Amino acid sequence: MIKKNKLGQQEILGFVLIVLLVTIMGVVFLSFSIGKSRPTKQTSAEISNLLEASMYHTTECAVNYVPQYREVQDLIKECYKNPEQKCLNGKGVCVVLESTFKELIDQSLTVSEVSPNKAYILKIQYSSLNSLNETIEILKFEEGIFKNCSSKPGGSHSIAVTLSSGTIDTELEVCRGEI
Amino acid sequence: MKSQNLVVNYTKMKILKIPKSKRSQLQIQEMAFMLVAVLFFFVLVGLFIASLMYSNLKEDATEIAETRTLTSVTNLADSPEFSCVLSKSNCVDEDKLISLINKTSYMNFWTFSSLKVVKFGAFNKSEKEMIKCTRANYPECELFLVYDKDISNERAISSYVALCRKEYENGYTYDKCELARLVAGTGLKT
Repeated sequence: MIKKNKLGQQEILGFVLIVLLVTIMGVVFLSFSIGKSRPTKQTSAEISNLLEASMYHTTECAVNYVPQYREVQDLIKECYKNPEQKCLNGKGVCVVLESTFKELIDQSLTVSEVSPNKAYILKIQYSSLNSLNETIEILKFEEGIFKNCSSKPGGSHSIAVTLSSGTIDTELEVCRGEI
Repeated sequence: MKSQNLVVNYTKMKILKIPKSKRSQLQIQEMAFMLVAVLFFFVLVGLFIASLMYSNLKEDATEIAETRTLTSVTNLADSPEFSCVLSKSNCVDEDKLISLINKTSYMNFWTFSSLKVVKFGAFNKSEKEMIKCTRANYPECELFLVYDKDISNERAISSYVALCRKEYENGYTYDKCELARLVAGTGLKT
């Protein structure tokens, strides 16, 4: 009689264990599927357009004579090739590049706590086509804090460097959140 | 208490009296119920995941629609009416733009309900604060209003473009480009 009772108890225990196992498996599976929808880096046409249009912006820097004012993309190349180069107004090419580019991005994205754009990060780096690991950082600036981003749209723009076989890539990533 | 004990004893006796074949049937039934429960659980989980995937699909569809509209605005910048003479993509010729102002014939040429170009200096200004471009104040102005059909239910889509014009300084002519925003309005269907 005791043996039969025990057998029943064991069956119930086994059933409970199976149910628990299935539930745990389901929870793990769900957590994986939900975890995948976390904000990831997205390519945005708007950001890419902003970068492309910014490249043509005429700066206040003329290197040879006035009015041969350089565009942002010219200053990027100049800042990579000869960072010590100065404009005719006495300012360094890299200094003018940073101030002009920062002003363009700040005015376009309007980063603040009360706006949809919470933060951004801009990187300009040279990548050699000969060796995969050779990257040289030319410029990097950011605004705001990358925290609680609901999405991270980004874009990039490449400039070919004629003398050396490589490209200068400009990457912009924006942190978007709830207002 | 006594009656409760009696009921328990009666049930135990009843269980013991069940023949072996019946007990097997019960066990099969138990297993069948369990299988149904597991299947039901998986169906629920599947439905939940399907709803999640469907919501992502909706987001993707909205994103694709927005990208398509943005592309049409970008294509507009590269159309012969706006494009720069220089070999620059995503560039609007400011000198062409000023000649397009107040030309009503373009209202029916493009599918947009309104079309304007905002210069870099006026990005954070409201439309009322901006200085509208005319032939008299060009290029010292901020907003090029190509046309506006004054539709109340309108959604505006903007794209960044380079706005270039010819400038003259020290006896030289050069191209002066600045960042601008091409804003196109689309009437919403209700």
